[in-house]
Amino acid sequence: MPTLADLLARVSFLAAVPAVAGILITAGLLVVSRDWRLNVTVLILQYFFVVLLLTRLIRPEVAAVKGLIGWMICMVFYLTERRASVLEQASAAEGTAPSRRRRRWIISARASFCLLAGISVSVAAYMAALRIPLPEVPGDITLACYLLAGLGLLLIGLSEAPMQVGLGLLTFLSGFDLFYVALEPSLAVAGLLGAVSFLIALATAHLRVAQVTAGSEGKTP
Amino acid sequence: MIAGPLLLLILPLVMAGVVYILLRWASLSALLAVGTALALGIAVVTLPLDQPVQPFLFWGEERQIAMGETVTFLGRELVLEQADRMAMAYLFFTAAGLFCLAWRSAPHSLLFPMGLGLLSLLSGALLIRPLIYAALLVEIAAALSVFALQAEGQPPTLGGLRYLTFTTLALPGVLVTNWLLERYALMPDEIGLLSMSATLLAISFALLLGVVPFHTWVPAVASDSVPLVGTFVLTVGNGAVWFLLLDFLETYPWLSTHPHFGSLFSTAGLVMVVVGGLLAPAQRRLGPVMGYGALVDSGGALIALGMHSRLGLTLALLSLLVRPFGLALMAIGLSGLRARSGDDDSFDALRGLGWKAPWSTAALIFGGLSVAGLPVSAGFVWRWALYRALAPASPDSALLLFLAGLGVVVGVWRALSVLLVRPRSPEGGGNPQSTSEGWLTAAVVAVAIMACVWVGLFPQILAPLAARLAETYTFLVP
Amino acid sequence: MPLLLPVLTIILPLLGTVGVLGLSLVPRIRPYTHHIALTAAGLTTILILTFTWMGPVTVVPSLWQPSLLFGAALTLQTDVVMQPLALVLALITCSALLVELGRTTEGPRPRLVATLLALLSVGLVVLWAANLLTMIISWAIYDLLHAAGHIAAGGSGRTAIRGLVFGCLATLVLWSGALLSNGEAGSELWSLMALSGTPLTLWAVAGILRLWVYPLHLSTPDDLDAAPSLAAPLLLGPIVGWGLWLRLAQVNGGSVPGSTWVPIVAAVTLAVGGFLAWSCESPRRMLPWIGMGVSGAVLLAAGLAGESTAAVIVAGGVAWALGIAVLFMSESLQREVLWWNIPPLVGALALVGVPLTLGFVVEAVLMGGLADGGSLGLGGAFFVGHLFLVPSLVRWLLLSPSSPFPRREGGQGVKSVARGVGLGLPALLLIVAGLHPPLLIGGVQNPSLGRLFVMPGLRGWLLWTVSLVGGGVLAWQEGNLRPKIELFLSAAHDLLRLEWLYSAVAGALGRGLCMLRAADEVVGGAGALLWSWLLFLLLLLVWGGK
Repeated sequence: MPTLADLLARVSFLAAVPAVAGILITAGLLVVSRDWRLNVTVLILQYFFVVLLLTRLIRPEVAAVKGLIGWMICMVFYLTERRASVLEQASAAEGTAPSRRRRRWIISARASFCLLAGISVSVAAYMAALRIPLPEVPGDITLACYLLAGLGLLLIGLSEAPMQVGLGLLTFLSGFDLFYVALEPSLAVAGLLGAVSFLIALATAHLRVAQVTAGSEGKTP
Repeated sequence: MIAGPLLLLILPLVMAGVVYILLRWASLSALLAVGTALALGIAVVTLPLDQPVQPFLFWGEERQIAMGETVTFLGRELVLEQADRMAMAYLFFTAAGLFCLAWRSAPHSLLFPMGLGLLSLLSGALLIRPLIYAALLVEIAAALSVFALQAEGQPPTLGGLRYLTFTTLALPGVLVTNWLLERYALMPDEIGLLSMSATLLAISFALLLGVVPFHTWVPAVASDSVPLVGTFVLTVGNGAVWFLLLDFLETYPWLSTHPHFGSLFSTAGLVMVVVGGLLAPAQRRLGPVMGYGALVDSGGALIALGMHSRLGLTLALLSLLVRPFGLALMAIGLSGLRARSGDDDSFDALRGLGWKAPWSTAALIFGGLSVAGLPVSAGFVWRWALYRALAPASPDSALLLFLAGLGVVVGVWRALSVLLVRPRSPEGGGNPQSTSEGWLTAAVVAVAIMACVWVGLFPQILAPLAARLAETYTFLVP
Repeated sequence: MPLLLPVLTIILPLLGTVGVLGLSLVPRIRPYTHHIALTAAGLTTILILTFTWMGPVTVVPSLWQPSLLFGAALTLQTDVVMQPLALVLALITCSALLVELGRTTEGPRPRLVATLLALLSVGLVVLWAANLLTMIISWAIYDLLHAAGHIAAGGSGRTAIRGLVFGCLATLVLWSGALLSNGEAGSELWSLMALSGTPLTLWAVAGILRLWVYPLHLSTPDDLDAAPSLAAPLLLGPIVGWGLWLRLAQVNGGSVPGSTWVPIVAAVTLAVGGFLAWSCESPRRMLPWIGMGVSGAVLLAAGLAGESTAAVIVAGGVAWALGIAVLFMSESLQREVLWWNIPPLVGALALVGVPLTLGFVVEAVLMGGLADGGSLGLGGAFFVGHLFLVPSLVRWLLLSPSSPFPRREGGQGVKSVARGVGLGLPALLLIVAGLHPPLLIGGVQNPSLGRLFVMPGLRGWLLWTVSLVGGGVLAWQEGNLRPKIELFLSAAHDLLRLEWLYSAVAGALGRGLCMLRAADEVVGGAGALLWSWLLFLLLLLVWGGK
């Protein structure tokens, strides 16, 4: 049975520019998309790429634990959104909720705006990575940190929906975590940051449930 | 032997669990929450730091409590120092008062268990060394507070979300500062590290304290959540942040000797005061009036700290001590009125409700006077002292703060003019859920109002405490 | 023991308040709550009378420590100058309770009674406040209780809030004056203060806000027409203002501050108050306007008085309060039992300043001041004011009862005596003090009765007589004239009341605030975080640019 180290060694070729590119794509998709299934999938991938980059800075075991926390967060989001969609379908069947949106393959105006904003932030992150390199971390990880922080902030700022804000906060924290582990490799700090991320996920899940419950009782959010 | 810091951390957590299980019995859970907070507050003030004591005779010697004993937690020290005692007492006693009010205003809310949990975390934030871990504990407390801020059956609280967001954004600055300062210790020639640290700390605390333009979470917390929980965040939570700031200033004295220290705090405070004073009378809902009133009060405290003297520090601490009176009264007033208007605190929905909820209206009036710093209220005593200290040196600041208080009270008057509209007919108007506040609620509100007025008439109850607390900090010259 | 007396006079009414509220919960004792209140108010009145034979007493109820922070303490000082005003407050409260006891028809009103007792207590604190801090705090408590009493008496919430707002503004103006003195005035006793300039001007403005002076008269309680006679103390808000004016005269070396503009404002108040009273459509709502006009007269007299300013303020304030209260508590003139007409007649005569009433002290000084050096404008305002005050008072005295119920005569026996004493005591004081002013006004220079008769001179007497005659003619022709010009009067009344102006200003402020709210909703709404960071970056750019 391959060990964790073996598994990580197999994918270690990704722990550089491909991971940064993956982070750019995943974070960008989070900014643009409002489909929860896509968001959860993308978040799982994002944590994967973050873990890959973390392996260059800290021990693989610690990176794996951080990844595990991230995937547990994704599980929380998945369960919450699944429950929410069931409740919303039940409301729709009773006729109290607005009708489901039809899936469209045409990009909406909101998505276009988010895409453009995401591109702008990505460019700004790139320029910042060139002009203001972060101490103790290599250049590509600096770029990944700025991308995650910038796109995370954008995600928080563009929406007031609990899940979007939660995704944004987690993205932002991932970017910060990626930088901070190089400065402070303490396990206690890593644990506390992990606890913070998990609690943020729980809090946003709680608010999402409240949103669905209030919506199904006929109140407008 | 039980170490004091452990007691202050573990007991509230354990009781939080117990209270959560017993939440359906509102009176019992309130009693437990109030009792826990009161007991810990009394313990932290009365038990000596330098020797263990046996609080109860029937306890054995192995159950002595040593308040001053240092505890190691995850490799970090938890230590209760003299300066922390009164800070912790403030947190516990304020929480006890809010729990007592919540017994009538929000009996089945998550304030009791979450509040106790938050007390544990915030106590840990003040006790833990080094200070960077305090920021992490404050962040965890912010995440937990979202559960309490969210009212049952209501749309998601914008206030909780914003509070969590701004607290999260403040985290990196504090954590990176610690690394910068450690690096500076190794390379004392790198002055730029100190400037960077000061900048990052300033931005982080600006986010945590709601300094303009990062202030939008303050009115959101006050308006878009359970009112008393919002007050808990704005008093206990905000108070912990203030004490954390003072701990930073005490630990790193070069921060207070920075040439821009005074002007930065004064300017930040002034901007908060102006924004709060302009926006408070413009509101059409009661919740934001309370939020902007809290913003003005915070701004005044920053102006006091910007005076860069022991007197200013005393005034800032006095503002912390009296703030809960005003905000708590406004919160119970808001709760009572919302309960009768279908959870809508807009002026249109509150029309004529003052006649059906006179005690809530009275609480709102006295709370508003206190938050605005007008007589006769607890808030007046610290504003009187602040204006007296500011007027000779900085009359413009005093005038702006004075006018901002007027702005806040104009917001309250506008609400009052709507509340006291006489209903056209007994059947007219909205469909209130209840027309009676009950004698017990009236009694609790009356006691709260009397406490506020009592402190407003006899400030010697609290003011010497502020002065003594200010003496424990040495980073400012007398 | 002397130290306890002021404290006792303040605590007694408060005990009465607690007793009334507590015992009103017991249905069997509820009808006797007025007696308890009367006992408390009566004992307070008697205690205040004893101060006449005592020197000033200073009491410190609360020592604000540390003094480095606050610079002052809550201090009360009973002094001879304030005694008449304090006595009048207590006496009118007693009288109102007695008159209410003399009624036969209506049940007890424990909430109103309790509020009035508390108001008496706080009123005494206001008058005895020895420094600005105490005055500011006591004014705030007084305003709150006054608003509560107004609502308990059946007044509208709108008027109660207006009173609260203007009272609060007056308090803030008072406070700002203290701050402008570099914080010194806040801690000094009134008796030791010597200030001039902006602080005094601001305090004068605070005093004007308290006296229903035009055009800051919006707090005039013009909706107590249906209130019971028990609500008489609610009309005594200006006594608080007279207390401040007395202090200002003390600080300003014996004369009122603002000697250039205060007489003008006072004259306008006299003239406009008189007209508003006469042009008021509902006769039952005239009384506050009559009070406003007389306030103007007293303030004008104080502005022209010179050495005897304090005496004028005391006499004017007392006469004002007693006259207004007696008119409010009395019914209109009766044909059936003529001697019930004496108190309202005496009240009306005192308000106009007829000789041998206490009001004559003010009127004589006013006439003398106008005759000696007053301008034509001031004289004209005096004429216009009295021209309309007289028919207004006549109209009030002759108005028919509005209630469909039988006239509220005093019942038989004890009730009749109670009502008689309640109405008679204020009227008696107006006469006795009018005959010998030093009996009431002590501690200040006040002219003798003979000197008062000589003071106006021929021109003053002529002016007064002409204005009274004119008023009499207007009263006589009231029935013929009013129906013809009713529309004009109503329009003029509404125009001069300035409600439209205040509404326009409030509307304009509301529009401005709307814009602020819109900006707040943008910055604090969706995208708040992005706006925050944008503003922060802008601030950084600006600061970095500097």
